[in-house]
Order: sequence, then C-alpha cells, then structure tokens
Amino acid sequence: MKSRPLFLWDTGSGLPVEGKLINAILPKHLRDHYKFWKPLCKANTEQHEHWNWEKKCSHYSGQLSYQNFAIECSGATQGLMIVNTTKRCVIPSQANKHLVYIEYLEVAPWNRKNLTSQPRHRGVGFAMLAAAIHLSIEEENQGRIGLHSLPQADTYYRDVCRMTDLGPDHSYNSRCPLRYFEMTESQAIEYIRKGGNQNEA
Amino acid sequence: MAKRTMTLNLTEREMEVLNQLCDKKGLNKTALMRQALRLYQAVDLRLEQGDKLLFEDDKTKEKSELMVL
Repeated sequence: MKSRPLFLWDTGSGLPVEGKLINAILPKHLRDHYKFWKPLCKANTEQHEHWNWEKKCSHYSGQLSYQNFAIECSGATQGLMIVNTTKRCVIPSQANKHLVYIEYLEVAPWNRKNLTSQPRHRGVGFAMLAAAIHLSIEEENQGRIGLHSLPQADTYYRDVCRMTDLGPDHSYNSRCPLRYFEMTESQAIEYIRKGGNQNEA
Repeated sequence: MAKRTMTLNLTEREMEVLNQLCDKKGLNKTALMRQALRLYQAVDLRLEQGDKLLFEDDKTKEKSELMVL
C-alpha cells in the first residue's frame, strides 16, 4: 500500500498540518465514514447521502480498472475517492484518449463550506483532484481527468477547478442527467500551479 | 505499488499494431498493455456475470453484440 505526505490547512490555527494520501480505502476509513460522516450527511440532506462506501469498495475490489484513495489528517479520515483508469475523453481535442475518471469523491462533512461556517481543514478536495491528476500523469494520460458532478458540486468543478463543462450527459443517467466535466492537460497544469485556489466547496 | 518486469514475445504484426495503438493513444507500450489488461479483466468479469458486450451505432442506435470467446 502506497502513501505519501501532504499538507492541509487547519482553518482554526491558519497553519498547514501534515496528513497523508493513501492509495487504498482501508477498513478504518470505512468505519470513520459510517460512524462520523454519515450522521452529519443525513442531518444535512446531502445529494450523496445514500453512498455506501463499503459496498462500493467491495464491488470494485480486485478490479484493475479501479483505484481507491483516502486522506488521513489529525487522526481522522478527511476524504475518500474511487477512480477508473479505463475511460476515455470527450473534449474533441483529446477525444478517445485515456483519462482518469473520478467515479466517487467525498470530503468529510466537517470540511465542507456548505455544511459548516468554519470547515476544519481546507485543501482536501484539491488534494484528491491533484491525486487523480498525478495518477493520470503516471498512467501517461498527461493529467487528463473527468467526472460527472452532483448538482451541488457543479459550480465547484466549473468555477473553482476550471474544468470544462460539457453539459448534462443523458447517456449517464437519462432520468436525472448529471453534468460531465473534463480537464485537459493544460487545465491540469494550471490547476496544480494555482493550488486549485485552495478554495473548497 | 511495486512493479514487476516481464518479457513479452510478439509477432511482427502484433508489434506493428502495438506501435500503431501507442502512437494513436499517446501511450508507451507498458501503459498500453496495462490498459488492455484492465479492459480484458473488466469485460471478462461482466461476461462471467452473464452480461453481453454490445456496441451501439451513435446515429442509428442500432446495437450489435460482440461475441467474445
């Protein structure tokens, strides 16, 4: 299991605090999600409150196409992500080339601006997207990434992350089509250079 | 994740196709073979579960099944 250090911002002290990005979702991360995240999500009617990470991890377990990530900091799980490395790009300039597709990404509820006036840590969402970009570079995909966004997160991916908004994707879910966002190589470079504006949703 | 190295024996024609695909996708040979393995595993898993592999014509919406042996 691979892990590497990263720094998040402790909004209380205003200082950076060391955490780690783990290339796996471990049982303790799932326990944290169930015990600490879930009650807060339910209370706030989040669009992803039905996500069951244990089921998702079990479903994708052993499949080479998928990779899991978790961020730990201050003794708690701060973010979870599952990516797929077999999907292809849609933007015409990079159509049919491979990218890293983010299947699921969730940041701990106490770090989200829409749930709390003072998030504990800033930079979790940025670190997760940066991890996807780094994986894309490792996979020779030049930083290209893509995702379908829940409506609550559309403005974050469009305005903060500066991903290209390709509009509602009716082939993904015809009843409630989610918007598809994609990042090109140059957008990925710019995202990493600017530090994602360190501005979390 | 730790990586291991192996030697792969291919025919001239197979190597030619591998090189063409690498050029087309902008991948090196290792990355391309890893993609192929992931896809093979994903398809095999779905077929084992009883699913079918279909291609759909984007314009006519006509579907054709790909027979995988």
